Amino acid sequence: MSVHNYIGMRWTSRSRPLAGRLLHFASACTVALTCLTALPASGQQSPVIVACPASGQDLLTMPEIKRGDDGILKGNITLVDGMRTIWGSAGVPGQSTTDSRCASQDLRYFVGTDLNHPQPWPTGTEPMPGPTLRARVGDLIEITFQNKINLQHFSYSLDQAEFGRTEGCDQVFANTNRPNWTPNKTYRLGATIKPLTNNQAGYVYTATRAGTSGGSTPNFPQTPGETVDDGSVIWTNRNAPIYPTGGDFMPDCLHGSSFANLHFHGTHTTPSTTGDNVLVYIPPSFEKGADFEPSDSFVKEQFTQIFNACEQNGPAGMWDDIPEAWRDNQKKLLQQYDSTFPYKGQPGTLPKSMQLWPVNAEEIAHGLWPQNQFGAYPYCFRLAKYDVPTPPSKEPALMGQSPGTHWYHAHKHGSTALNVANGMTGAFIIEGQYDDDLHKFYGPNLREQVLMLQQISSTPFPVLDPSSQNKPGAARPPISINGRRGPAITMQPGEVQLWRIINGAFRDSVEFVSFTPEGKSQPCNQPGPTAIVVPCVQWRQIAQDGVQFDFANYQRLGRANNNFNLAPANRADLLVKAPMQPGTYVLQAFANTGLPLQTCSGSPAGCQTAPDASYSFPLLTVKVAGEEIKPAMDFIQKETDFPALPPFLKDISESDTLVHRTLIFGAGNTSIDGKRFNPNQISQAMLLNTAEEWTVMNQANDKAHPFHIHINPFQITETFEPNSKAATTKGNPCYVDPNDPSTFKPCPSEQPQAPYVWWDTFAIPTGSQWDITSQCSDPNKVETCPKRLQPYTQCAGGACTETIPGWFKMRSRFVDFPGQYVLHCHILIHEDRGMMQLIEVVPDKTLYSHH
Amino acid sequence: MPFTWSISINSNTSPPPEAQFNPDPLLQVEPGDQIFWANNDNAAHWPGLLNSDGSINATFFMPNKIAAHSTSEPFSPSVGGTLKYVCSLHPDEQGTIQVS
Repeated sequence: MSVHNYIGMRWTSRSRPLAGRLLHFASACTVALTCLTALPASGQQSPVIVACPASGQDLLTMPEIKRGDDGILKGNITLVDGMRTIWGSAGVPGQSTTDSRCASQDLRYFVGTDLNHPQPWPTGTEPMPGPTLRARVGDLIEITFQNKINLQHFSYSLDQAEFGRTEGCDQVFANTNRPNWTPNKTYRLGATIKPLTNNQAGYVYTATRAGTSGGSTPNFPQTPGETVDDGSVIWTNRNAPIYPTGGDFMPDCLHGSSFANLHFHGTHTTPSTTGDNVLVYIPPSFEKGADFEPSDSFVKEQFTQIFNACEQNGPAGMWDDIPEAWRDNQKKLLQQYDSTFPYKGQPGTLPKSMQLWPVNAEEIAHGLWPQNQFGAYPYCFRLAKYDVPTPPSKEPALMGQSPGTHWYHAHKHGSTALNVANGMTGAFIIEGQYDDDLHKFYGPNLREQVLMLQQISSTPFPVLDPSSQNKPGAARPPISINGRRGPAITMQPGEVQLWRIINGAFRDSVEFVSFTPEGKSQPCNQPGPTAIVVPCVQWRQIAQDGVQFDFANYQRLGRANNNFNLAPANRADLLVKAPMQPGTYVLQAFANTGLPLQTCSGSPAGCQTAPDASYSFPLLTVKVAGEEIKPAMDFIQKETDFPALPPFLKDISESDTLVHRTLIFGAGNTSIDGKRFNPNQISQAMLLNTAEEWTVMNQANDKAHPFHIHINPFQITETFEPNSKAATTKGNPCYVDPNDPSTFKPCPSEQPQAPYVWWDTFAIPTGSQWDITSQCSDPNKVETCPKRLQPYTQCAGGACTETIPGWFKMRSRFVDFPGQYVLHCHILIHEDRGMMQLIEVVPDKTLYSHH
Repeated sequence: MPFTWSISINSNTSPPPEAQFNPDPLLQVEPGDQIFWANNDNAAHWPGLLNSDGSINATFFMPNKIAAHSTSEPFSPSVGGTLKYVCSLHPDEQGTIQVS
């Protein structure tokens, strides 16, 4: 093994300084203060309220950057910004938080170019994802990434260490959509409300003493910090920021910035240097007249050298492998940033701890890859091919890249939710034997649709639910597909298409429920004896998260019209079959935060119900029209026709696993194993080329945190769902009795079966929460609660809560690629606020010898 | 999802007042949207809520003044209504936000 493979990177404990609006003029100034007076009026743009685009328009097809015949995918992805039309919030019908407006708002997004398409695309005002990448297993990927965000178009969503008063966290003041004050209502400590009368200034108030409100509206004080008695409640005027809150500190807080990078989600490749490396940060280029610095021509010239070397030897191992001219230029630009950028509004005063070049200098001195890369970055990596070495390694790969539907998105910690909300995503289709086999059955003209589901928004801040206390709630950005809501896909009668679906939403899960004939409410695919059999569009799932099903799972999970729920980052490949009868069919979907959540109907006393923030909506329509295909195409029925499973996707047996671990995702949405992300701490270390079994738990009862780990997919072998129907039905053998921990175990009839499905993101089943204060003699001491429940109980503030975590078990092979990367929750606000761990796969070989 | 609105604080070419808000009034805002001020002036400013009795609540929108060439934290109104604001440092600079 090459020593190059040992190279990794570490974050420093310092705040990550981010870009600022003053960059463009400051960079051109030698005396910053002189330039200040020359600063033009801000170019920041407010939204323009516009008519909402009609739904039901044809699905937009994303342009593609395709591989060449030489096995290399060459293209440019550039991060730009512009005014795009976005929607208000969707939500439970009738709720005040539903916002039917549309607006043209400045968003950051990706455009692409390649040799065949010199003009950046996609263009237009619809919030489309970036270009689709289409490569093949074993290919080399060469992406010239450039960041050309115009910083003058963004404001507070920049790092406030440059412009504000904090050390970097974004602040949002006052509050959004708190519940209305209600008379004669019981309020817990910390409940926050907004009075609609006697509150001319529209403040919000927090209960600083729990109790029951009075019968009439009190005179709410109009000065922050002042209090008023209301029945037995005391309300305190609260003008505190909603964010940062709950212990948010850099870097684990929302700090929307225009720094960026790319995560190639689903790739099995190196996490280091120019690979799937999310530890690099790429600030926006300096603007220099009509060009940028680094200039397009210089980037092209230098990256050509870097890519040529990568084609010969694999990704660069050491920074010294990069051409000296590029390294020198990077140093110059980073030092220019450090000397001209403002700190708390004052140009040129960035403290050394917030400068970019010193971090790089220290990393380079330690033989590490420097993480601050100014303006442009040469992504170059090979998609591993099974049993073939991936240079610079000389060992045959133990896992191959799975051919299938993958994707890419920006992954800047603290800004990932903002990145993805703005639409900084794109599909990454990796073809292989899977595609060859499908084309063998269906012919070369099998039509394909790539569907990127998004939740487009200018901010990552959740709208709060008025029906619950402070919880992010029912209203949120609606789901769109390739930049349009409810788009229409046309199919010929009797046609089968391959749909590649990616949930690129930053927050919501989307359940695919059923097709319904337009104008009717009866799902046409409802199973059972009472089903109304009508001609209908049907689907069968053939792959999950870019990894094809074994034929047994196609028969089981991929049975016709089987519901599935895509958590954020999940993908599904479907064969979709149109009936012979022309017509329009609506695909009904269900936006949610995980299924099932805890409900309290029929449950024992003390159940802490989770707010139900789900809603149904029409995801898309299929128009069956045009010339009939005769004979009609059909689903694959025979195993011999189904894509053959590559040998590296065979099950990992329990006896193959070397280490077992347990990880616990917290109910507070910010921690794993009780800790927030620490950029200097490696939380898990796995030995290269070994397999492990992990139990991953979820304490939250209101969301199924989607667990995601980079580089290697995993197999789900067991699940425990305390909120499943069986687990909540008394008398059912799988009933989970909160008073009896011996019942806290998986339900045998609901377990995954071998061969196990591969995933790279899996929604951890929700836990359940129970108020057991009455069973504890001292509501502040766990040891006074029933002994059998103590391991599950926490007491604080005069209340004791029992938590039964949901969990899954997974097995994964940490093979082929050593290095540092991350695992995290794919509800990206949670990731940004600290629900992430840095992990490392460490080499299993050494150069040291014995004599 | 909330939309994000900005109000520019621009140097006035013919003072007084020293600076002006733009747009003024800010219209079409709804509860839950986010509003921030972008200070393009060379001096600090500090929009505060103008109470009906003429007094100024300096901390209603944000706890601190906005430095020159800087932006404020976003403020998010909870309810509909007309918010009249005034610079706590320069009381002749006034503006209005209409929350529908």
